[in-house]
Amino acid sequence: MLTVKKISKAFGPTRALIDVDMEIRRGEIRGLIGENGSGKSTLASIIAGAQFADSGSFELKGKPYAPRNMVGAQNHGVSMIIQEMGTIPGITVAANIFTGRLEEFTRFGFINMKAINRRAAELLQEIGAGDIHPETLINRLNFEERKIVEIARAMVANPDLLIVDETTTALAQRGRELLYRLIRRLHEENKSVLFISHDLHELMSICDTITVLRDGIVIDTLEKEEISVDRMRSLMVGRELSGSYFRSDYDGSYSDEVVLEAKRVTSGILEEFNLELHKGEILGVGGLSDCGMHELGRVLFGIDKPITGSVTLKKNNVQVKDPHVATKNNMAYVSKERDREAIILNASIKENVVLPSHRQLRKVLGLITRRSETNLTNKQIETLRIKCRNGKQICNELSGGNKQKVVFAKWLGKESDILILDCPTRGIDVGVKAAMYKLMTELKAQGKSIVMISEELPELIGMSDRILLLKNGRLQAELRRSPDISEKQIIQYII
Amino acid sequence: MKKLMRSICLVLATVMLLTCLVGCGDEAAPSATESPSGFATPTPKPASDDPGAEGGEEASGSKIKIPDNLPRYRIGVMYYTFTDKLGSQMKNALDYLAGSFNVEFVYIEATWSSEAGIAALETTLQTGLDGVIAVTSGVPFVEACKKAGDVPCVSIQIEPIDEQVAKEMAAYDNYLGAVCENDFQVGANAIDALYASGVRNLGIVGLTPGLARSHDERIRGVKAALEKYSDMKLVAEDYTMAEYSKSISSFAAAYPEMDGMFCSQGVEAIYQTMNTEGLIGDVKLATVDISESTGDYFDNGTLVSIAGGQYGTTMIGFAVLYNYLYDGTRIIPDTSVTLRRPFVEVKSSNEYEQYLKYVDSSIPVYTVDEIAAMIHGFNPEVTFETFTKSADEYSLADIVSRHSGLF
Amino acid sequence: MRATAETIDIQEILNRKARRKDLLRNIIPFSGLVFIFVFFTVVTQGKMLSSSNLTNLISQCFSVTIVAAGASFVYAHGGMDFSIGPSCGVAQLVAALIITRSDLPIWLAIAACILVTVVTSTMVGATSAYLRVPVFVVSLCMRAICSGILTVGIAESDIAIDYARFSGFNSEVLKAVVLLVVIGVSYYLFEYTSLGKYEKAMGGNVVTAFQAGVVVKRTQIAAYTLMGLCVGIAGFFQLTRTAGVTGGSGSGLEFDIMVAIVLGGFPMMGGSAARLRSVIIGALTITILSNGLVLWGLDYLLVNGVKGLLFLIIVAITYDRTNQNQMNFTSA
Repeated sequence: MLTVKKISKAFGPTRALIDVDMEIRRGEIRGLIGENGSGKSTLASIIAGAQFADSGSFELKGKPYAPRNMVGAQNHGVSMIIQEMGTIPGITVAANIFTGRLEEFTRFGFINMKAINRRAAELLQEIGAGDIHPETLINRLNFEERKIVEIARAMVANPDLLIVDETTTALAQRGRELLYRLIRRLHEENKSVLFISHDLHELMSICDTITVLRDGIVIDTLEKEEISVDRMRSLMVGRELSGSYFRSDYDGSYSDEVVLEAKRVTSGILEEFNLELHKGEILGVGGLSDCGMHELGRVLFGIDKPITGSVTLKKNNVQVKDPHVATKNNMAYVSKERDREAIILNASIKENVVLPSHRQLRKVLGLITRRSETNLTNKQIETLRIKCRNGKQICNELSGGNKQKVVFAKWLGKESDILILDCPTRGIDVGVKAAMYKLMTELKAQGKSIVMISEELPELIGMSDRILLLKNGRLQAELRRSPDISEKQIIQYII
Repeated sequence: MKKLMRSICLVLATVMLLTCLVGCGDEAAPSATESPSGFATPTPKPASDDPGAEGGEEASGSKIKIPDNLPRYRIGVMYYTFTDKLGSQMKNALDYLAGSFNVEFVYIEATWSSEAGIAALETTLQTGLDGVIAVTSGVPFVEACKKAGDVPCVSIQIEPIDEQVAKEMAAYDNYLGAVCENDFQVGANAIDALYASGVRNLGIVGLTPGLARSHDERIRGVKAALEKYSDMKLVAEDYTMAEYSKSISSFAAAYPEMDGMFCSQGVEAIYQTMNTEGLIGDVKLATVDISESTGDYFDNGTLVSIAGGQYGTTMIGFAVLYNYLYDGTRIIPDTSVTLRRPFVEVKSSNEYEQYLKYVDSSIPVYTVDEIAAMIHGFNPEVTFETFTKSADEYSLADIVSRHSGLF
Repeated sequence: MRATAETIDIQEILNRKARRKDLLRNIIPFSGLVFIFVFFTVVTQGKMLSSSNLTNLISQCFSVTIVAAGASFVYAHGGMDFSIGPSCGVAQLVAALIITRSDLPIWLAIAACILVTVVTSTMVGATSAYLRVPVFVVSLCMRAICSGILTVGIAESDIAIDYARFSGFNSEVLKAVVLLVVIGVSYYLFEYTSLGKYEKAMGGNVVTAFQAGVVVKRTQIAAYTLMGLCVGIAGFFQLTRTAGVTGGSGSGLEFDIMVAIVLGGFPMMGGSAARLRSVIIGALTITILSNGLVLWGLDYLLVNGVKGLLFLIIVAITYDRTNQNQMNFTSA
C-alpha cells in the first residue's frame, strides 16, 4: 500500500527523521512506536500531508505520492486523526466533519446544510457513534466525543490508509471500543492502518506488526510473534532495561514521622480531606480525572487556599499558606500542566532550573553569579541526562520528556524534602519514565517524602508505599503496597 | 519565502528613504530663495516709484532703499507647530520677507513639551544660526542661545513669566527682548464690544487655566472689564480643554438667559454648536482667531468682535532681531519690558472682507519696505519710540490705510 | 545502527547554524543604533559628531534613558505604566513649589520630587496587584489624577525657578555620572540579582514563577517603585533644565519609553528575552533619531514621515521573531 523511501526531516539543528524506509502492506495494521523525539509523529504528519519532508519520497498503491496538504492527502486516500485537539470550536459537528470539503455541498454559492447534516449522521452511524447529532455545537461535546468527531472526519473520504496518532489517550472505554472496531473493519476491507501509541499493551493486542523508531531512525520492525512489552521497551530505549521498571521491592515501609499533614481540607470537589505524609514514604493518590486529586496537590503546596481546614508542615508547625512558604520549607511541586504551569517555555533551561534556588545561590549584596547558575544547571543536566545543547537552550525546543526533566531538575537542584508530583510521567516515554522511577526510589531511600498523583494505574501500583483512592472528593480506599494489587481492584474503588 | 518577502520590504523601505534623502537634503535652502505659497514675493522696489504705500509711521517710509548685497543670515524660528492657522501665517509672512532681506529661515516645531522644545532648539543651534525668534521664554532659552555662541534671540507671543524672570533674562547680552500681543486688552475690548451690542448675561468658554498663558491673559482681561459694568454679569464659565462644543451645549441647556459669549479661541466647532443649539440670533459672540465661517456669522448677527492678525508680531520680532544683526542696534532698550502690540480687531462683515483682503491674502500686514523702514541700519530715524508708536497704531484701519494702494 | 560519521557531521553543521543564530540575535539590537548613528553622521556631514552636539545628546537622552532603566523592570514582567508623564510633571510641580515658596534646602526639594513619583508608581503597582485590576486601567486612572493635580498647580500661572541657582544641575558631567550610576545599578539588579530574574520569570510565565515560590505581588510592586525612583530623578533634572513647570512638563515620557522599548528589541510582554541593555539602546536610538532629524534640517513637513520610515526600518531589523509560537509536531 504505502512505501516510504529515505524520508528525512530536520527542524533547525534537530534531526527528526533520518533516511526512514518503511513498507505497509494492504490490510496491515502497523504499529509505530518510539520515545518522544523519535520522529514518529513527524513521520505520520508527513505521510498525512501536514508537513513536507526535506528529502525522500513516497509511493502509494504503486504510484508516486506527494500530498500538498491534508485535504490533498485525504483525496488520495490517506487520513490522519491527530494527537492534539483537532476540532474547531464554535461550529457544529457536521461542519467539523466536513471542514475543507464544503464545496462538495455547494451549489451556486449556497451550502446545502441539510445534505451535510444527513451525510454526517450517516458517517457517525457507520462508525458506531450514532448518538452524536450532526447539528450539535461542538462546544457541547466532551473531550472524548470531540475526538470521535475527528475520527468521523478522518473517515469522510473513505481512506485506504488511516493514521491514528496517539488518539487513545483522549478516549475512554467507549471511544476506544469504537476505534478498535473501526480498525478491525478496515482490516477486513483490506485497508491499512498506521497506529501510533504509547500504550504498549494496546499495541500488542491490535497490531500485526510494529515498527520501532529511535532518534529518527528505524530500528526494527517486529512481526506479531516477536512482539513483547519488554522487547519493545528495550528497542525504544536502546539498551536493556536493567532491573525492573518500577520498584523492585515490595517493602512498603516508611518512617513513623509525619512530615506533612492535611486536616479537613475542602477545596473544589475535595471535601473534608485528611492526609498524613510520612518521611521516606511514596504516597500514591489515584482516581478518575475529576475526583479531586489534582486539587489535593494544589492545596498541599499552598497554591489554592482551602475553604476549610489547613495544611501543616509538622517539623516546625508552619502552615502552608502559599508556594513561597512551601518552597522556603523545602517543598516541591510538579504541576500536571507541564507547558502551562510547570515550566517557562520561552526561557532557557538555566533560568528554569535556577528559579527556586536563588536563596541558596545568593552572595553578598544579593549577587547571583553566572557561574553559580551554570554550575547548578550543568550538574542537573548531567544527573538527569537532559538532552540539550547546553544550559542556554530555550525550553520550548526540547522534547516533552526533556522538559519534564528540566522541571524535576528545578526541584532537585533545590534539594527538596517533600515533593508533590502531579502526573509526573504523563506523555513521557519509556526511557525517561524508567529514569524517573529510579530517581523516585533513590529519593525515598534518602528519606525524602513524595506524594504522587497519577491517572496511570500501573505506575501507582508499581511505585507507591500507600495508595489513596479518591472518588468525588472523598477517600474511597487506602491500599498498602503489595504484589497482589490489580488494576481491576482499583478501578472498582474509583468508579 | 518569508525571508524573501522580508528582504524585499527592507530594500523597498531603504529605497524610499534614499529618494527622500535626495529630495529633501536641501529642502531648507529653497525656502529662502524662492517664494513659497502664501505671500507673493515682492520685488524690492526703489523708493521713488512706490505709489501711495505711505504708512502712518515714518514719513520717509516709502523712500527707504534696501542696500544691495545684504549679508546672508540664518535665523531659527521656533513655534508649537507650523501647520495650524497661525503657524502657517507666521511662516508665510517670514518667507515673504526672506528673499528681500537675504535671510534663510530654519523652522523648528517645538511641540508642547518644554523639554522637547529646548532639545530642538539646542540641536538647531548646532547647525549654525545667526539669530533665533521663538515662541518660548525663560532663562534656559536665552542660555541655550548664549551657549551656542552668543546667538541673539527674541521671544514672540510669549513673555517672561514674572518680573523676576524678566530681570534675569534681561541680564543676558544676547537677549533682545519680547514682543507680545496684548491678550489682556483683547479680552477687555471684547467685553466692551459685547456690552455695546446689548449683552448683559455673559458666558465664558476657555482653555484649562495654566495650559496656555495667552488664553489665561485674555480671560483675565475679560474679567477685569466685566467689573466696569454693573449691569452685566457672568452667568456661566467653563474651562474644559478644547471641548468648546460641549461647554456651549451645556450653557445653552442650563442658562437660557445667556445672551453673549466670549470664547478664548475661535474654533469652527463653536459656530457649528451654536447653530445646532439654536443660539443664532439669541446669543452674541466675541472671540479670538479668525476662521472661515467668520463672514457668515457676522452676517447673521452673531459675531460682535473677533480678533486676529497675530502674525504681525512675528514680523516685528524679526525686525527687532534684524536691527541687531545688521548693525548691532538694540531697538528695545530695556529688555525686561515687553513690547506689547494690539490685535487686529474685526467688528463687522465689511471689516471681515477687509481683513481677508489686507491681512490674510498675498501681502502680509507689513510689506518689505515697511519692515525695512523699521531697520535702523537702513533708516536712521528709527527709534524705540517710533517702534512703539507704530505698534500702538496697529489695527485693521491702520493696515488698510497703509496698503490700500497696493491692490 | 546508522550513526555514521556522516550523520554526526550533519548534526555538527546544524548545531553551528543554531549557534550562529544565537550570536546574531545578540548583535542585532546594536545594529539599529549603529545604523541610525552612521546614517545621521553621513547625512549631516559630520555635525552629529561635533563635541557640542555630543554634549547636547547627553542632556537630551538623560530623561528617557534613566526612566528606561527603571521601566525595564516593569516591562520585563509584562506590566506597563501610562502615568509616568503626568506624575513626572506633578513631581516637578512639588519641587518647584518647595523651591519658590519656601526656604527649605535643595536636597529636600529633590527628595520630595522623587518621593512623589515613587508614591504614584508604587500605588499603581499595588492597586493593580492587590485589587486585581489590570494595570492598564489603573495607570490610566493615575494618569488622569496626576494631570488634574498638575493643572490645578499651574492654574494661576506657570512656575519658574531661578535658573542660575540650579544651573549646576545642568552640567553634562553631572548628568553623565548620574546616568552611569543609575544604569550601572539597574544593570546589576536586573541581570545579577533575584529581582531582575524574578521579573523576567514572571514575564515568561507568572504561574510557574508563583509555583516556584516567587512572591508575585511583592516583586510586581517593587518594579514599579524602582521605576518611580527613576522617573523622580529624571523629573528633577528636567525641572532644572527647563527652569519651570508648565502644563507640558513631563509629557510624552511614557510614550518615549515605549518607543525606546520597541526600538531596542526588548520584548513588549517581557519574559526571559528581556535585557536591560535593549532599553538603553532603544533610548539612545530614539534620542539620536530626534536629534539627527533636526540637525539634518529636514523640512518640518517631512519630519514625521521620515521618522516613521526610519522607525520601520529599525524595527524590521531588530524585532525578535525567534520566540513566536510554532506548531510543534515533534513533541508529544
